[in-house]
Amino acid sequence: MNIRTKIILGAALGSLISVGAVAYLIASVSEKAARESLTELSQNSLVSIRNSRQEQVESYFKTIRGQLATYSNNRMIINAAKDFSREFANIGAESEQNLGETVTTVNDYRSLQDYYNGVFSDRFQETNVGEDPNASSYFDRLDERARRLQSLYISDNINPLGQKDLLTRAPGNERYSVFHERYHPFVRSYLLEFGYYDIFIVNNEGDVVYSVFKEIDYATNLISGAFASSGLGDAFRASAPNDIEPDAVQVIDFDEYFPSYNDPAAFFSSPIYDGSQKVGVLVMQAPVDRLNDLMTSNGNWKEVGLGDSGETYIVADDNTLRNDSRFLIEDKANYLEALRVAAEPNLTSINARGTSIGLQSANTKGTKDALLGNAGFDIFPDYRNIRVLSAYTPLDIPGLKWVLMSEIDEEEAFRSVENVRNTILKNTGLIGLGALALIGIGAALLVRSITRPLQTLVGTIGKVTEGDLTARAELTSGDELEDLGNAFDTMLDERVQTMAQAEKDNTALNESVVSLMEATSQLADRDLTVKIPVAEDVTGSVSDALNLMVEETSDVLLQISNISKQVEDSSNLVQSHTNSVKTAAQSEQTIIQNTLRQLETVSTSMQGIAGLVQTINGLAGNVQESTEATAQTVTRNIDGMGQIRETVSETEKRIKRLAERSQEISGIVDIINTLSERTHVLALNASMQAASAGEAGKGFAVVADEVQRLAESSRESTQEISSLVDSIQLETSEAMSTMNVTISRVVEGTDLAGQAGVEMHKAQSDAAELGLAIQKISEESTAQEKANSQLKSQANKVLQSTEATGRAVEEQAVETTKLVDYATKLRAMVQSFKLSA
Amino acid sequence: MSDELSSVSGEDTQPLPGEEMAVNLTDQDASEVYHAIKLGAIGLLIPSDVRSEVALTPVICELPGSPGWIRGVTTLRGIAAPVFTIDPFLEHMSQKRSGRAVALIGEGDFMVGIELDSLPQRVSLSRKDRLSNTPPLPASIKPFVKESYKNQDGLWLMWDIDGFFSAVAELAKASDINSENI
Repeated sequence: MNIRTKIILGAALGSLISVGAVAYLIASVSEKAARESLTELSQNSLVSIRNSRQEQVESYFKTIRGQLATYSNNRMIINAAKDFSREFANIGAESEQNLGETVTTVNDYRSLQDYYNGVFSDRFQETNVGEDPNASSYFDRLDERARRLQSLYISDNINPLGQKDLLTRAPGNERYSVFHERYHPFVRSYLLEFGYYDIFIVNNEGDVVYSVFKEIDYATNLISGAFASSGLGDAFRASAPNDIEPDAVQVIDFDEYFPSYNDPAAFFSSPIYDGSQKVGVLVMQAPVDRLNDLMTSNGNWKEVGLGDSGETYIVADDNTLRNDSRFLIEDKANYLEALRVAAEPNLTSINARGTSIGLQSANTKGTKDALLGNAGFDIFPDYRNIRVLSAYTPLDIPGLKWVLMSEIDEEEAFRSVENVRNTILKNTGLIGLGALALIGIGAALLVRSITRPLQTLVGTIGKVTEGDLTARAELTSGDELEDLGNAFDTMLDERVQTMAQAEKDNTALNESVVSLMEATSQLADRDLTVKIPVAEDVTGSVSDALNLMVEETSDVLLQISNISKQVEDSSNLVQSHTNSVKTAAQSEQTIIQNTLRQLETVSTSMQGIAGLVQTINGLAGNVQESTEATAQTVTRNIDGMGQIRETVSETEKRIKRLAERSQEISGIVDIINTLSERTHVLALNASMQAASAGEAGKGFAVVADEVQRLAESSRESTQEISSLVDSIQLETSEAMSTMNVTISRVVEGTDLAGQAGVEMHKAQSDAAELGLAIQKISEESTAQEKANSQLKSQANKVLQSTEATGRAVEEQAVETTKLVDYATKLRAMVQSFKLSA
Repeated sequence: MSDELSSVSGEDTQPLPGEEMAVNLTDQDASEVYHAIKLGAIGLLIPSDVRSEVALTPVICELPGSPGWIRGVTTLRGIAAPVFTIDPFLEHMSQKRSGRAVALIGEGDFMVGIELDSLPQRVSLSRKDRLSNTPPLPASIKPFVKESYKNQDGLWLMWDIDGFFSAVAELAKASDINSENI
């Protein structure tokens, strides 16, 4: 690692450590301060929301209690309790007295039973998927009055489920219905006004003598009936004691209520007193929706300052929620997954019913502390096992031990702290990088002012070492390094001057020796043109002697070389001429031989042509004779075709006449046929007349039958004749058609024969001209053949003469080649010496 | 024509027009020869005591305003006779008439002409050819059938000619009745 790198790395590392340390310190301090600040802010916010919700919930319950205490003292309710109780007791007896019937009919029971097993069960299973309500067991526990009233006001009520309150009076003569018609509209109006789920009037015996909505708890007994242990039963028992204060209001916490399809329901009860006599209990069923809407802010968590993960909820002393979890409403899948991780025991029920009320366990640090009666703020895992900031407090509701929790996820609450820390770290990193860059630049400039003169000095030494004795450092840094460079340059100047003089002397002697050795080497290579330099040193005399010897030898060899050149040139010229003559002789011989072969071929062809022409001449005579014979035959053929045409025309006329005759025969046959038919009818009539004449006509009948047979025979014969005539006509028609075709073909044949005659005469004339031409060709061919023979003889003589010439030239060429060879060898030997020109 | 009637009509063995039937005599079963007119699938036997005659291509004068099934009036040796086609009574069991021959049945003022498909035939029938039950027939002719026979030449009916012609006469008198109503 060089000095430059060391200095730069050291500076960078130092600055990085210092910047990082400062950044970490700033981030830590800032995060702590931000976290404390945010915790305080969140606490304030959660406590504020908690207190607000606490006030709303407690006010809500206080209002219900006040309404119930007031309404139970209302004169109408007192009268209603008395009237309904009296008429409820009379229901069975009244029916028996007035109608002489049983209280209910079989059909009523069946209708009501169908309602339990059908409408009610279906509605129950909609919100309790997979659970069997076993409704028939509840039906079985109804007494006669309950079945009668439930039939009248539930199963026979034409209004749909959930709207049974629309029936003011059931059909029938029950006095109960008279009072129902009187009180029901007012109680129902009160219920709708204040948003209760249901209002019950229970007599002192525990009979539910009135209900606004008339679910299957209507008309049941809360002491011995199916719902004695339900929330409604508990509410009744809480207000049942005879010595209970008139204004006392009892509250029964939310729990699953079977008649309301297991939806959570809370009950408030208050005794009904008529003066000092207790006449019943007024019970109100509180809906869970109101409380749920209040605690979930109608789904507007973010608007009330609870962000993305904040919520408020109520936990009862059974450690379960009294309103729905925000996470169930907003993100059910992730909520259920969180519960699965947290091992929630009621996970299946929460999933199936879609509510966390009374099901979701919440046994956290905050709920425990709140149930002990303490209000506070802390950070701990909630019911999902996720850390939250929680503000909690117990609720002051008489009869209920509830606590209210206001919470938000820690991650969301401190999300801004993370942002602050990340921002500080990011900005510190950027500042550190900037400082690092500046320090690096400064370090680089400093290092450069030191290392550059050193690099120049090192470069100068390298050049001198490589032989550049003129190289100098010549530093101008103005510091100690410049002094060092000047001393180095002076030392180099002195040493270089001494070395130059010694080198010059050695070089001069070496050059003389080298020149002498180079000249000797050229002489050894037969170069006699060499001039050895004569130096002033000891080598000068040796050089003079060698130069004289070389000049003499060179003169002699130069003369020999000139003579050899002349001999070689002459020999080459002779050889060139000889070769030309030889080539010409060979070419001439080849031409003559080709000429002879062509003449032989021409002669043979001419002989063949002459023979062929003779043959053709004979054939031409035969063709002429055949053509004449054919022409005569065609002429006779034309005559014959004319005769055939006349004969066919005559035959056609005869056949036409035959067809006319057969037509006449056909007419005659028709006449005979008509006569036969008339004879047949005549005989038939005679036979019929004879039959009608009875015994007297039998003889005549025989004659008539015979006549009839004759007529029939005649008719059959004429039919055969007619058939024959038809055949003749058909054949005649076909013969005429055939004759017409034949005539057409004869005409065509005649025309063709005429054309053939004309063509034959022309062929005859052409054959005669052809014979004459062939005769002339034969004569010309014979004369040509003779001329060819004479030409062939002359060519053979020329060939013999050319062959003799060729042999003489061949011998001359051999001798000339030898002469050229000798001259070449001599010249080569002389030229091995290099001579001056 | 119904399928049931077609099954007893013997159309496959129908003789050629004018062909005389072979006499079907056996040792055990004597036969009797009748003259008969063949109208489609049904043959009507002419009783021996009834005078009849065949006229070829007679001149038939049409009667204006008469029903379609009355062809008109013809004369035989100076005696006028009404001519009608029996088709409507057979409910189209017979084929279309050629009009070339007319059977004149009866005598004097009671002579009536019937258009024929073919010339009358001579039919030889024995007791064994007689059918015990009258086969399915058109309602308009069934009441007048006295006996019915069946042999290889087809179905033959012995009919009450006087009764049938009286009914036809009554029908013709009803001026508001035409052949379609029948």
